[in-house]
Amino acid sequence: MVALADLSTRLVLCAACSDKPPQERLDRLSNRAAELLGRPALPGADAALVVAGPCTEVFVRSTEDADDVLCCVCGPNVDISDLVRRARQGLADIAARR
Amino acid sequence: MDDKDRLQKNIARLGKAVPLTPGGARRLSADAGGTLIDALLGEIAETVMPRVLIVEDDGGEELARLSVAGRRILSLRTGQAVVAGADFDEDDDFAVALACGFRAALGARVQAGLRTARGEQPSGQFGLRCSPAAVAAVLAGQRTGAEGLSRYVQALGPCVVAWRVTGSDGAPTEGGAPACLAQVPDMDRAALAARLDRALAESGPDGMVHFESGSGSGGLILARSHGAMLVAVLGEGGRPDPVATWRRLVGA
Repeated sequence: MVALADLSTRLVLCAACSDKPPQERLDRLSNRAAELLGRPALPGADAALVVAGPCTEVFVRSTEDADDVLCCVCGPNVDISDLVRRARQGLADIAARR
Repeated sequence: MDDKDRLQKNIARLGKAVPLTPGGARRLSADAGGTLIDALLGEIAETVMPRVLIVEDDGGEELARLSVAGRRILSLRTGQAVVAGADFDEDDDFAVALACGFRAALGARVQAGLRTARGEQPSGQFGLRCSPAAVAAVLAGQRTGAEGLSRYVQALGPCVVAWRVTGSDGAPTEGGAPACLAQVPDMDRAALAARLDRALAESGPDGMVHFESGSGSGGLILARSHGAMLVAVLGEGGRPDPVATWRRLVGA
């Protein structure tokens, strides 16, 4: 699943997923994005990767608009470095269209 | 030889090869493309009547023999007694214990997969209380707790400029530059645990969180495994993939 969340309102603005995720799941995802990147343990961090069990969650914050965060939930066989790079590029593209 | 003798001979041969049980016997044969413990635990989870499960390698050699009934292993024989009387339902770590037993008894051969005669079974679908990843970690020789976290730091290499592993008993072990650790917010044990609780809220107590900045000015890793916690400050520049390294060495 890939979702674009707004940190200021803690809302998922749009999401792409193989199934239709319930709103509660999207709410939890945006809350976690805010929790991880709103006050990151590493000052200045723009990405947080959470690995637990078979799942990896990737949260990447836009450098252009600090409220925009791309949230990705993926399985174990994903090139995370490439995913983060693409997420940063995607956020830059979104900012450029505004 | 008349029919009676032939029948008795066959019964004797079968009885020697497979103890007669109401549920019969099932042979599980090795297959490098399958999954070993998942398939076996799936069989156990489905077994109500007494049954013997025979584990064979891909050459037909018997690796282990389990007596199973009521979703419970009555005995496991692998040439040396490994697990007996373990309860699949009540022991959270039973699957891990079983995997440990297999690993101790069979060594590297357990890393060959298994498939059941019944056909393909998706892995991780058997409602294990412990995760299939935890079982896989045992089979792959992964380590958990403070030992696993220390190995993880070592594997990350010189990109780690400072680190601290706090054991489940609270005993800390540190390396690198202490001044770097002092700059990390929420470094005390309770605050770190609270931060990990929030970060791993949906996945259970264990896992790893990696913070990084796009400017390449370093990173931070927070992790917890079996009560032990890790804080590692990463320097600039190239480093092994923290996620892939975590999956390989610590895993569950």
